[in-house]
Amino acid sequence: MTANQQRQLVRGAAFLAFGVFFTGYALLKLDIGTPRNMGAGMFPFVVGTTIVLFGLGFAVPTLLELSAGRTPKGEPGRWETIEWRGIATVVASLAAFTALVGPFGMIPATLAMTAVAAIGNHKLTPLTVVALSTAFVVATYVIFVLGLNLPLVMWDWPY
Amino acid sequence: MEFASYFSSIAGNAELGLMHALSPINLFYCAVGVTVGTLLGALPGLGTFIAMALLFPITFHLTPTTGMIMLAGIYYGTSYGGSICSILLNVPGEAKSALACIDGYPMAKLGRAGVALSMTGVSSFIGGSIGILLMMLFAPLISQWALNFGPAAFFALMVLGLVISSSAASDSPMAGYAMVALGIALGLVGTDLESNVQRYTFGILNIWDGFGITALAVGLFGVTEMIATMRTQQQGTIDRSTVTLRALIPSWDDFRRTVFSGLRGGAIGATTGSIPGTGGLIAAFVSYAVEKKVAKDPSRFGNGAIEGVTGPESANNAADQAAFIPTLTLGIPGTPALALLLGVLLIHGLAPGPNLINEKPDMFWGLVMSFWIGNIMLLILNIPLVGLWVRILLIPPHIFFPAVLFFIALGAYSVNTSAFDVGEVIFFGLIGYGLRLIDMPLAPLVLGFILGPPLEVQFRRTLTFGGGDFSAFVTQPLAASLLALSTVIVVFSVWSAMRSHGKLIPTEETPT
Repeated sequence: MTANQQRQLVRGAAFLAFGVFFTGYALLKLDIGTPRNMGAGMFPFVVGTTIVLFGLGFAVPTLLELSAGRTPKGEPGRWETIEWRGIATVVASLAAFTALVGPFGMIPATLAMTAVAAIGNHKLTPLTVVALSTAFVVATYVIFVLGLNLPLVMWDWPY
Repeated sequence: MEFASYFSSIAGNAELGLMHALSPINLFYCAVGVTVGTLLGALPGLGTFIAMALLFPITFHLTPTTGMIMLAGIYYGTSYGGSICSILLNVPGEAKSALACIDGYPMAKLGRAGVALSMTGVSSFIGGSIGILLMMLFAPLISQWALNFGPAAFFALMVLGLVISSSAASDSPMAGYAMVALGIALGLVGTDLESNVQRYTFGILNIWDGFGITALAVGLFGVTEMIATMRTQQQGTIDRSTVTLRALIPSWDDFRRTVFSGLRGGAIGATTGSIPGTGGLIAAFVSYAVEKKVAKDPSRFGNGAIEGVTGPESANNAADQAAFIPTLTLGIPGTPALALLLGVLLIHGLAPGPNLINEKPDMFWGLVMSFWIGNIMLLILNIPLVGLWVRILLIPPHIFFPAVLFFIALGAYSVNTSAFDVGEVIFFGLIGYGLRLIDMPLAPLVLGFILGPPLEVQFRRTLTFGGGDFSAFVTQPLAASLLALSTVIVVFSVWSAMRSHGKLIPTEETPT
């Protein structure tokens, strides 16, 4: 099985699963109604079935190909390497901001998110982290608080 | 309609618009937009869509006119910036600037980077101007014509717009269509306005109003891009001596070639760009081919022919401007990035569509006239100040990584000062990265997300007015022909893609 075929199967499985879920929810939880007097579920039902059809459109030709033992012409394709380090760094950094900004305010959240980003991206030294965080906070204050009059809390202590 | 009165009404509206565009606040945000657009366009990897998504949250705190002026400035500013990156680093800032690499980078290697950059600025301005003129002339006519459309015609028009836009988004048209459908599905999450029923919210209060367009756009484009490029970011090397002020001055021959190729490119771009979904890339390709055809010595192309840079750049800017025509007259985004511009209208409770020009003439004409101001600003930013952008390209990219990340978080947070929104960004970032791994184009998803709700409204209206009969979609000739055209495009594109990949239909068995 070539990488392109694998990709078609993953696409098919993903869209099929989502489409079935979406259609199922519309059928079970929403009122479909009649064409003359539509319920909230009619349009979602139409969209959901379309997604199911796309899922089949990705997977079925590839499955037919595989069962017939034909190899597709052209490039076999390849998978992009999954950037686990990138995922972990970006998610952890944004999560740090999310967790801290409510209880502690912008300054601690910014410092934490930049520090976490630096753990994943080791070109960033502690000095750069502090310098960048300072720049970010000042920019935030000038643009959002002074410029756009947003009540952003810069510093807070909930306890 | 009499031509004389039509022209004088345009002139009157243009004057009104200019007054709005010249107000200090609009002038300021226009400058912010084009500057940020040039900056983010010049950085490799950050395209139009990411730049617009990053600054989208700010539009929540501005009036819709000012917000659109800023966002539009980013939109056309990125293509000026994109060519800087193409010429100096041989890395296209984004897809539509790719053609500027072919002859722009050889020019830079010959020590003519300065001329390439300044003439790109001039030709971009020529192209942009042609696009704006076309828009001023035809947008009022088109919206007048579209005012009489019934729900079926609108439904069909939106379907056609979605089909054309998404079929060009990747080499697999079916992947584009599937992403539009996924986007429409995500757009349905939240309270149904007709029946007040919760759909797909699972009791989560924060999404009763649906997913935030900011979180969706920033997550899908910003976060996904940050994850994918964190490891591979590289710094370019640039010979600064080739972009001094003196090196920017073209010879008379360079200037003449630029103007003619710019006019040709602009005409090509303005024509193709006004068709929804075609965008700047196709216009740039056509223009490059035309320049090569009309040249006395085609062998210069690929080795630093100035028309090879200026023609496509003009075409791409003209197309970018002309793409505003369907966006603002019909409510059909001319390019996926312009869907975000319609998003500004939607978050302020305004319906995009043919009524916009009549009901909000100050907004429409203010925006159009701001394009002139923005393009003049870009000319200044890109010719005398080009050295500044060159210096920015020399900043190590790992500095930009936390900066973009911070802006993603801050932008999402600032809309409702809600940490939940930042969580939503992470959610869409992971979905986006997953979809990127299976090679699905992300822009059609946003298009579907934004057009999904109006699509449902027109779908409902068509059936209700038609007494529940599905034939209501095809009884009017206009709606019927638009839907037929969409079907033909879908069937043909999927069929030809399968044929060329040899997937479903084995065209010829090769004997082994």
